[in-house]
Amino acid sequence: MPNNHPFLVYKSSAGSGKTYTIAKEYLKLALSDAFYFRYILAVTFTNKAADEMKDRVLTFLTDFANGKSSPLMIELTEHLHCDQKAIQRKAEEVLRNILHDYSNFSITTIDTFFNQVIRTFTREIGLQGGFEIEMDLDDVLVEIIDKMLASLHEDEELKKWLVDFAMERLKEGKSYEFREEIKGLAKQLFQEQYKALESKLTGTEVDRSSLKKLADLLNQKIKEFENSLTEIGEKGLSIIEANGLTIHDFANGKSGVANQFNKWKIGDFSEPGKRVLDAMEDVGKWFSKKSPLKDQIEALADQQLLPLLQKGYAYFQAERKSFQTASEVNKYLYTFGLLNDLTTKIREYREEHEVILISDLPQFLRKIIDDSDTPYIYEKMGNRYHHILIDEFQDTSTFQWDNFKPLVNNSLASGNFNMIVGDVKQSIYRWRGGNSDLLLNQVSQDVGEGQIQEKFLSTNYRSHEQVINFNNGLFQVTPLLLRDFLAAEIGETADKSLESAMQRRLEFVAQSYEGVAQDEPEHIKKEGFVQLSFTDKPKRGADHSWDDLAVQWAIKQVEILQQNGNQLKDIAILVRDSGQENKLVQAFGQYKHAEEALPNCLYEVISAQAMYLTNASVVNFMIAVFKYLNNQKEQIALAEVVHEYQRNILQNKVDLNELFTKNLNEYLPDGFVKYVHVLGRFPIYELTEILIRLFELHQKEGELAYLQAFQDAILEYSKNEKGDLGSFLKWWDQKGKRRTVQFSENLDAIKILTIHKSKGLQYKHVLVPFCNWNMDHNAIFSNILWTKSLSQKPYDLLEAVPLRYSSALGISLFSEQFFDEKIKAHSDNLNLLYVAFTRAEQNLLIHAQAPSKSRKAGKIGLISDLIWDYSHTLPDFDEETKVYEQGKLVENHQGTEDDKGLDEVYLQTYQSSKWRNKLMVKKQAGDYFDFGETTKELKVNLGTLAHQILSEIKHKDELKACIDATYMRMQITSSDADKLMSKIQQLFENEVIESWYSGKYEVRNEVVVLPKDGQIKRLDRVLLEGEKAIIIDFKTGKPKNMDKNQVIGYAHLLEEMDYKEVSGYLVYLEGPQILQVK
Amino acid sequence: MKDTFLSEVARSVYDTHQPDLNHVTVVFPNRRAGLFFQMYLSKMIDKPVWAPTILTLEEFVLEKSDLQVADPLTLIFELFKAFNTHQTVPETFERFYFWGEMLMKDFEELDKYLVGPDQLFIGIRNQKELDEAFYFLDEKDKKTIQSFWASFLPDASPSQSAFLKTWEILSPVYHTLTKSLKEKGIAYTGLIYREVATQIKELAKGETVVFAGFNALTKAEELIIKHYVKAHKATVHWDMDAYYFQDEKQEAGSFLRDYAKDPILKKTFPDKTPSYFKQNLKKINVTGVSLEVGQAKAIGELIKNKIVEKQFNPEQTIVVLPQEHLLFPLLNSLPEEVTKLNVTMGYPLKETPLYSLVESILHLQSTMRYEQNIFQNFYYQPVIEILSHPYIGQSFPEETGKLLETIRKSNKIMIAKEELEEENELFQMIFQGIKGGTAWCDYLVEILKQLYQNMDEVLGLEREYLYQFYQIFHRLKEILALHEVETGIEVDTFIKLFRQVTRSIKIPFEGEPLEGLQIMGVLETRNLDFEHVIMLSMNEGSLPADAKSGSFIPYNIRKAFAIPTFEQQDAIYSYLFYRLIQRADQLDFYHNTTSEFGLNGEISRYIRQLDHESGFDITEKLLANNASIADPVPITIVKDNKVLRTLSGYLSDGRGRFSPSALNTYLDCKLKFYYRYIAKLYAPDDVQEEMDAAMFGNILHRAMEFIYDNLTKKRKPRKIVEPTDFFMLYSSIDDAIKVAFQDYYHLPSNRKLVLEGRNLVMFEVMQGFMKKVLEQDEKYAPFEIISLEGGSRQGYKIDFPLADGRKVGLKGIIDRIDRKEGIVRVLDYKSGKDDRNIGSKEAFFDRESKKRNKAAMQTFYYAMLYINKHGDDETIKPGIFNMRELFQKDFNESLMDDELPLNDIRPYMEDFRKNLGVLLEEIYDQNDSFTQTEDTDKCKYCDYNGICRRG
Ligand code: SF4
Repeated sequence: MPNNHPFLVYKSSAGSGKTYTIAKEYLKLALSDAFYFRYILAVTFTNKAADEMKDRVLTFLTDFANGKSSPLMIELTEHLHCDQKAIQRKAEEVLRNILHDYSNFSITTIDTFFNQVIRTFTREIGLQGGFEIEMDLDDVLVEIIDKMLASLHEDEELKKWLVDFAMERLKEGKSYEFREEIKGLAKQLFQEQYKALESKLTGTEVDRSSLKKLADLLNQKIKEFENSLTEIGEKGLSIIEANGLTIHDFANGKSGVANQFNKWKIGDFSEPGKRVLDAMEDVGKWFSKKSPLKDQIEALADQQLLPLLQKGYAYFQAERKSFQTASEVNKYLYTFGLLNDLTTKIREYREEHEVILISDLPQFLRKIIDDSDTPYIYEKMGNRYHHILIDEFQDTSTFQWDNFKPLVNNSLASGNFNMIVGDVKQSIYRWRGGNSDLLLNQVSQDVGEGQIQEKFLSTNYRSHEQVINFNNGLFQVTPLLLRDFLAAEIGETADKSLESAMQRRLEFVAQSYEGVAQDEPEHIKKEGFVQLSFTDKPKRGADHSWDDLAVQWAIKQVEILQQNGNQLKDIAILVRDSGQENKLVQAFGQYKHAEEALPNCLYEVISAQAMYLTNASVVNFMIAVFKYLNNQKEQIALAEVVHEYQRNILQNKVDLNELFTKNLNEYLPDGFVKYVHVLGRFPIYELTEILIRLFELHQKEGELAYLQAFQDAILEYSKNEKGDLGSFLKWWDQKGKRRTVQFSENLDAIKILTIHKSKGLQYKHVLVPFCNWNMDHNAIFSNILWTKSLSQKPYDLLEAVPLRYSSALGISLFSEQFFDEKIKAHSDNLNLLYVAFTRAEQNLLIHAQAPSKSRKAGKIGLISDLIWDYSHTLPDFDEETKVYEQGKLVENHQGTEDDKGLDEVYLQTYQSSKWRNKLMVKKQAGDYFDFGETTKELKVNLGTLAHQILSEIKHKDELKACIDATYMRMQITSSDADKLMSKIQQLFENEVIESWYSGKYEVRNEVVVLPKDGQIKRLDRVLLEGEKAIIIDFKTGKPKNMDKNQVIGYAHLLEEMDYKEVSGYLVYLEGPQILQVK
Repeated sequence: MKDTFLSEVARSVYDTHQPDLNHVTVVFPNRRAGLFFQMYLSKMIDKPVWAPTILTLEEFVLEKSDLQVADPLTLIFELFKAFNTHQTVPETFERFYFWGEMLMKDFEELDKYLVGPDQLFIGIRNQKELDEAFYFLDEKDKKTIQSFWASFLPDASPSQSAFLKTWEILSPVYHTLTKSLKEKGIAYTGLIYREVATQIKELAKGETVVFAGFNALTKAEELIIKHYVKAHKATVHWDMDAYYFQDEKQEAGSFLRDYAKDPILKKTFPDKTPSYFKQNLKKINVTGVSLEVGQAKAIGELIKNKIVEKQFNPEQTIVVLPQEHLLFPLLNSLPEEVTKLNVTMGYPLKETPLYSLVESILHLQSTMRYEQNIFQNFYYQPVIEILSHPYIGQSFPEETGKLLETIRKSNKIMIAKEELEEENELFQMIFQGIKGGTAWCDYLVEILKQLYQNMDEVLGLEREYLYQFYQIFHRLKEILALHEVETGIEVDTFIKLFRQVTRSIKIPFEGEPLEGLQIMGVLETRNLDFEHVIMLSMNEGSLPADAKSGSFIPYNIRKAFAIPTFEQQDAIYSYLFYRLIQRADQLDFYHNTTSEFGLNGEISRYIRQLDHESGFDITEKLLANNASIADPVPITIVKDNKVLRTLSGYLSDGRGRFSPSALNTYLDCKLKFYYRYIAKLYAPDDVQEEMDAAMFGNILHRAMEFIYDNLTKKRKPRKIVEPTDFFMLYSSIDDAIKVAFQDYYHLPSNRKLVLEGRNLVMFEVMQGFMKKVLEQDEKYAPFEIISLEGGSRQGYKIDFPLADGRKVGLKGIIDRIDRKEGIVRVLDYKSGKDDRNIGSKEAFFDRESKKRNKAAMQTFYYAMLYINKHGDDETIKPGIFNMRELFQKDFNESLMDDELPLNDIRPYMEDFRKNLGVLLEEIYDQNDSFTQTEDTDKCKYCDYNGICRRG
């Protein structure tokens, strides 16, 4: 169905039913024809989201098929021009088709889809057919960094960069931890920002030389600037000294004008303060009015110092920008060198190991897509998509969109419907590559305005009235405030030319929030509650911090909510970072036992922290045991084992000093002590089960969930990695440790989580206690910006440069990049606020920091400044208490339970028991080898092989072929084959044996006799001649009575089968020894 | 017991062929079915009989050909040779290997589906070819394939050209390969199938054959069976149910429906399709579990409950494991009472510790580098792995311990062979560079033998691993011996071959095939029926398993030529699933709910299908976690007599003395002090990553000591450092650092120090800093060196009196003491974040204070030691050389007290002693205990945070 605006862009907002919308559009298409779903591709980001979307579509279909009427059903009747009955029939058909052609039901994640494409093209893009994707980038880094280090002695430049790197860190007062630091830096390599430039950065000798040249030029420039000012500084100081004065004799002493010379001398090139600037105009400002040396100073200043200062300042002003630029570029140039080298090493790694790194996938895909046209891709894959629906579009990265673009355009060219859904306001994953500009602008440019139809989803189905209203107001105004503030900031420091360039970007901030105001669904208005309270930051030296206040506030709110009948599990506390999370967890944990705790309130919390496996004794204990088993010299690990076992697991009262100083084994179960030397040799999953049994860890009821999750971690590990303890412990330290346990949704506990993690979730009551985060990047992080280099000399030597985000960059020639990043950082933080505040359904409770008295009007340093400026305009804001409220706290008394998920069951026990006595492995080794128990020598046992061959052939002529075949199957080596041959031929020299293989009898080899309702018998060899039967059984080893009985048993069987003359032989192959059995 | 499919087959065979059972051949899809069949049959007879011949279809087919099936590695090498005969630029074996495996699979399929290579591997270059090439296909298939090739016209894109380049030689490659194989009398199974199928008329021996339980047949199989049906009146038993057979939408029945339409096969279908599925009312439980282990544990509980309720009938129960790796969790979770088991899977070699040792050894080989073509150097990582591996470490604890320590200390990336040999045969054997494919095999076999001899106790299973590895290396050696020369195997390829061979090897279990609880993979369940079916991993990607595309033949081409695609694979799984449950009456399904860690959390489509279509009641549950974990118990050590006795060892007449860092430790955390100085639990310094900082400090100190030592002691002994000395001092920086390194590594002075990697960087960084220190000293010179690092390693001492008259032994090593113009400086070098602002002096001993200045306290302490020895007649000035400040233009070493330089410490001393006294009193106070610090930040890097659980 050709469409004039086939590309639908849904701009959603919080709670506006995004998944519903995408499911709806999906169904509109899918219901158009029985198998039409095969032509629709719907993608989203996480597996979880994809699962949800699938569920949604299937549930709708099931409901339709069951004839349930719903608004959606009605909408579809209109869209498909048919009645409900017809939809019901259609839905049933489509549903069954989907269920039985499920692999073609393409609702998936972006990554899965792209992998599928790549897989079809492995050979063509020069990947190995095996196509191993290296997921573990950390391991890769360790290896390439080692490689790099190993090559240092032959690479002077590389060494220099590393030295610079180490020096820089020491100068920053950081500790000399080398490898980890480089690893941190090297992670850049996997980021899109760097990768986008990578093609220009690949390490060739040419690049290296320009790097060096640039470094030289920059250093020259920096030196020149520094020397000039230092010289002036020194000159000034020597004049002062020559006149018998010191800086303290001048106005304001150390903080006055004369000290400027000192500053220059010691290399402080910051912008001179107001006192200095004033003094440059006015000799009178050089001395304090009461100074006895007034006249001398005045004369000195007038004749020498003032002109000198002016000269210095003039130079400073003229050169500062280019100096700043040079030093900013210079500062991180070594990272460039290092990364450049690491890039080369990574390329080598890929080739050597024949893998591609997971981070390479988008680029590979790009190559495929660029090299072939869309229909061909589909031909090879077997799916041909007419429609592409993309969810969470604000999180899409540039690479990802670039890869979708041709597919989408191909579809649009046939007039087919496509859509994207996203919310710029909820774009908080820029650091992971999400580029919300795509949704805001880029897409419409890429597919052409004419094709696009924009729709806003503006009904909020999640939050109740007051919450919606509050957010409507807040997020209509704050973006504008933020824009104006940033505009002012930029205006202050930047050139006029820049200002206009930034104008557009500033508008984006506002534009992102256009249409933010949401409606409530008609007919169903529900009362909600918003409370916003500001508290002052305590004075310096106070015995509590603002964070303490926030914590107290949160505890208080939790109590109030409970007193109004609300349940803990409906409460979420959102925080900015894990530090705050920790604080809350600790505080609630302590408060629970404190006297102030209210008797009728609960204080249970769960947080990502609490879910870490390491919180459980059993897990810590296991790890300690592992450490100890891995290295039995680890005294501390052993102490930990013993302590954990006795005190936390058994909860014994023991004399601690004894415990730590005595022979520690006394405190452990005998079984463990006895087997400690072999335990390390068990496969690691087995080991955990053995330990569970030895230490009876399954008795530790409260921790079973952790034990289970720990075993899952082990299982995952042993599936993919090496099976020894050392490797496991390394993995645990790097990754495993961060594993968490999943809790039931219904657990009655407050959820504490970061705003980032809360995206996509909703809660009845939301608390935001720490509403005071920075709007700008945190200075501690070294945010490296990769930017295009400047076109002017000498910067044109390189295409791109790494820079560190700092205000110094704002006064360099890179100020545009700086402000660009600054704007983005600010909008990220505003978006976080949006995400946080829109999680609430009923009660939204906020604790923000009141701005200090000294804050400059309009300055937005913290997110709370922004909220403050807005809420101040509200009529209901109480200036006295600094509290703003709307509505009344919503109460939920028991019995109003609405959502009910699946029935939950719990394990009553944790089963672990030995299996080795129930099940034996097939002992092949014993047959094949002679295990000389005393000599401990491994020798191949030819007997067993001979047995095998002799039972297999019927006639001695078949011997060679049979041995050959055994060899062909690679069961034996060629030398074994020869030995075997001669061994058997030797046997044939025995007349009796020979006669069995001479064709005289009818031969049945490895023949099965079915006894009446009993155990099936397989006989090695039976020779038949009329009513006569000969049973032959081959044996290795020494004659045993048992063997005899066995053959007698066989003989009885044959007699029952009416053979009249049955005889049996046992052949012991070493020897050979032939025994006839009667 | 109810009828099962196999008992029905047995009944039919018995009825038709008795008493001539031994002349019948019964063909099943797998062996297991045959076993059960025999059991049923044995229940029908009244005296012993020769059993019918029972074969799998594969055995049945292979028997008919003289060709021998070659092992996969031989085939790959053969394919490689065939491939390169048709390549203009020959490919290396390395690059070919994986892709070759894929191609081999394609050829297998081609043959099994009787597709002509010449017709398939045809490249289309123009419209005319496109129109004419596929005349033999029907319209629909022709369309499919034409649409594929149409996109190549008029011009092929780069990736299409790349595709064509390989595509067009595949037909000649096929012919070359099959010809050469046949000449050698070997083949891959597909090839034999094609041979047998196309000549079945001649090959068939006219036996009495019964085919039972087949579903998805390859074209070749179909042809063969049809021949027997038509020409030899073979019987066919289909294992099916009306539920999916008659419902056109059920993919499970799609193959059978096709056969039922076939003119020959249709006669073999019964008039009335059996319908057990709906007849047996089924109790169905579906339980969602986060991840995997919980599924096994839940099954353990389910079975346990059944046992308790006396409802457990092991013979009628099957546990199906679509994911093999769940076998061990499951085995360990079965209650004690389950004593008999039959498991169709085995113990994966890959998960054994021996495997990881072999991997490490191979890694060692692949990273071995030659220096000047003779000296062998090994990468430290595999070396460490090998030495700390349980098989090695526990056999030679002393040797490995020693080696490990040196390696960890040395920061070396490459380690010379000579350093690793020790006096140990096994080490000598392992740490040697080996070249060449067969040589690696010998090398590994020898190591295995040695290992075995060195083990004091060999566990039962270990023997089996040893045996398997032994076999593998022998096998590899045989094959490589034949092909090594032409292919020039590199160690990385060798590793791949090794992995390839090992990957699939499992040590089989010996069980009771017909008794006890049955535990199986999905494929093994074919034709078997149980009343109670328990299945794990009921997730997409597991059941059905993910489609392994791994083919060079594009989807649409496969489709047109009727080579199976993922749809067929899905249909096969679907059949396996429905067939297994058709006669069952209780079904317990478990599935994972978490899409993480490479697991798929989506529930299997079959559950959704049952839910929507079966009409049975399905109980869906979620296994949830309820957790209550207790906080770790606090640790407090009371000073009982034993503790006090240890403490008294630090009194002046005892053996130990406290250093300032002991006191700082005490102030940081009393318990930490206890662990280290009373319980004496030491951390082995093996934490590679944290070594750098400590090493940096250590070496810097030594180097500074050496440089002045050299001047003041070695030459003409004198104490004054003159400005003119500096020329010489600067030029001896390098030597000093070298000596410091040498010292650090305990290298004898005649051994040459070779720096590399990180040490090289450290060397240069150190140079920079030392130069800066000397520059400062140069400005300060002339001055007199009084003592370096405490004069001797003994350092300074003091016996500090307690109130009760006992004296506490204190000691300290002062980095440097110098004197100039009556000012004695007590100096410390620091390379961290230390602050020269002493802050509040009271806070020196205040453990609560966040601003406690440890470095300043330490300098005060040193000053005290100095005064104790030399008196306080002179001005004594403490100072800190902060590395991070050295590069600042206004560098200064003075401590600062309230913004003013602290030029003389004497006035401060009294207070300091007093406060120190208070501290020492507390340490010796019986009533005070060693408790944990309240400030958990301090625990982050504490060695004991494992014990305290504060990591
Ligand atoms: S972990 Fe913390 S409490 Fe325990 S000893 Fe170390 S510093 Fe003290």
